[in-house]
Amino acid sequence: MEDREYLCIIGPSGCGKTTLIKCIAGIIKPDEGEIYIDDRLVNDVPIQDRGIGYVFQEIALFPHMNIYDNVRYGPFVKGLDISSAENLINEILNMMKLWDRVKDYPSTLSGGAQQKAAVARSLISGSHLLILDEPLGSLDAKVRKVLRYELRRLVKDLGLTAIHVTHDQEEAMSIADRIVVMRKGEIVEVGTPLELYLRPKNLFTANFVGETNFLIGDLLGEKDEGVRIDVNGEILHVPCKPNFEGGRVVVAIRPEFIIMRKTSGLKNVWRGVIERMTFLGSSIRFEIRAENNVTIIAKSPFSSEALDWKIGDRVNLILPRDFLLLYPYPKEGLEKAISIE
Amino acid sequence: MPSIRLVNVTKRFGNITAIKNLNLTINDREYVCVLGPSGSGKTTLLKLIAGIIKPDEGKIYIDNKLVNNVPPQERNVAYVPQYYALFPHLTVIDNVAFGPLSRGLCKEEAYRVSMQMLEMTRLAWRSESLPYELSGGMQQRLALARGLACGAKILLLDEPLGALDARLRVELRFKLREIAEENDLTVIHVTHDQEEAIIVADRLIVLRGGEIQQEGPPSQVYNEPKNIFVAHFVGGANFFEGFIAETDPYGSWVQLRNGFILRVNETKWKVGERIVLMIREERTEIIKGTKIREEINLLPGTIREVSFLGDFISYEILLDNGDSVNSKMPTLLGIGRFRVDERVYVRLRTEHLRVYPYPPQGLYQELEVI
Repeated sequence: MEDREYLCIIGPSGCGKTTLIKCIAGIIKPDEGEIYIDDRLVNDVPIQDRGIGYVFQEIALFPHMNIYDNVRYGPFVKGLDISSAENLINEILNMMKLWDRVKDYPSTLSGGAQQKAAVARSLISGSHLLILDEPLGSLDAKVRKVLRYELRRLVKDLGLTAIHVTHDQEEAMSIADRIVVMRKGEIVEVGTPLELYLRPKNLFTANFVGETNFLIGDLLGEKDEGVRIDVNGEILHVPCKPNFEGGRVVVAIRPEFIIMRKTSGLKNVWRGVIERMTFLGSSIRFEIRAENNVTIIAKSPFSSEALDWKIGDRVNLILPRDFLLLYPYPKEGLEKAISIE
Repeated sequence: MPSIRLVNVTKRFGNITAIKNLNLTINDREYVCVLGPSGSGKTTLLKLIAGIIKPDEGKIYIDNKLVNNVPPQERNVAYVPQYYALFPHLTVIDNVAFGPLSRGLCKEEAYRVSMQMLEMTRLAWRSESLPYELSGGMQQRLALARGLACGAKILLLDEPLGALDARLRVELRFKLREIAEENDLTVIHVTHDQEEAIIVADRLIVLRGGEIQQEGPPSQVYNEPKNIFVAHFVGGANFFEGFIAETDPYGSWVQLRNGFILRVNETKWKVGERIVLMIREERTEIIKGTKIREEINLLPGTIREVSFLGDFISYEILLDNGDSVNSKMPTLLGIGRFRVDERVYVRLRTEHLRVYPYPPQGLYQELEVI
């Protein structure tokens, strides 16, 4: 991890993401390996000497103390001179728009405001590394969306380094500089949100960071700077040279990259019939049965054109070459390879 | 025909009124989502229908029969609580068979029905496992199977996906609907997640403070929200404070902060009236360029922040009058299109602008759902 980076760790339940940050924080010790913070080996350094602020999923404020006393608790128990910490306390409370609530008790604040107070408290001791364990997990969906941006802004404004663990891939995408994808105790992939979304290196990531069509096919051979793939009788042209032996492959494409047209085009156009339409708010999701009997999911931004389509309509699906991703068919089978349970 | 009707139902807890004089009809085989923030009365509503709590006033009918005094087990409803409440010491199949057995079914019949339920929820292969050996998604399906084993055709789901990972939640939404359709169920599904509600529901009911704010098909609630709260809670929305500066037979002119003017199609407002304008994030347009343009509903501003949401990119623009706008566009159109600090124009088309009266307690308070 780099200095001042906002890193998100994502992965399904039980993938080890919380264990990882507990090792970094020093709440648990690794059985093997070394952990360095600022180039210092910290394996045997206790939690309180690692210079880390830690925020839990469950809001852990002292119910009998007002917000101000909660926030200044760290310097207080460490026996520091409170007046020297006062500037930082005031700055952070101001930044988090908590200033007019300092005399209130936690139970009178909304869940979102309480969690902000918990973040403020974790920063008051002057930590530059902030560890956030599902910090928004106990809040309502709407509140979560607002607060995630406030968290990122705070970290950036104060020049902190943050490790934020979440199971919510959208949350991670919207605030992280880099994302670490974990599964079964291992790192599957690391990249910027855009890299993981556009060019995921493996099938698990492709599925985990958003809905994707997975088309199973057979490699037919090379043609025009790319390869031809037979998907249940329809041919797809993918403009890349596979770095693996031929045979069965998986082609992945995100629903929102598929173009729906009434008239036909050239290559990579499949014909099909719309079987289901779902309103998603800002877009519409289509389930289309292609002529080769494969079901394709397409998404279209909400517009009058998108609304013109009806169930039963015949449609031409353009699968743009540049957005087709090619993977070898996984040994354990596709379903197992992308399973998030 | 399982249908549910609530007539003037009120429920109080001490001095808090959780449900206020509520009227609601749910039809046979309808999939209804009740959406609202914490404390809006969603779970209370479900418990009233299940018979776990009794209303203080009003009447509840199931299949046109008054059920106020009918105990839960005789209401023909299956209630699945948020934290599944599975029996930890019973195997999967024994969990499911518990209901039929306690209703006096013979052992053979009870297990036959239970196995059917497990097949439907694709858990038959784990019938001898204990609940803790299952993943979260499987436990959720088990709770569902157990709820349905008594043969109820009304399914009451309290945040059925709330305890699951975000990605898994998305997958299971579609499964829930499938199971409901295949088994001709009438479903009431309570959630605080507006995206989930929009996707699974035939009809959306938005609750706040124990009162129904709006009900209708998801697309109608999203496109024509009746008030500011609904607009804010169901989907991303921009709000601007202003007042009506001028009206004519075809529309009105609205003055925003610091002199910005917008044209709206509505004519029912009086000059001088304080109002709030709303436009959905994805219906705003950002236009490059700094040249002054003489076009209505085009406001100058500066890009403040860019954030990536997966299939959408969101830009935050600070307008020159101090208001701010969030604009969402599909990722492919939006990638790298604008830089932070770039000067742009934002177009707010008249047909997408909605006008609401200024809330008496202030806009900020009205929007606070936390």
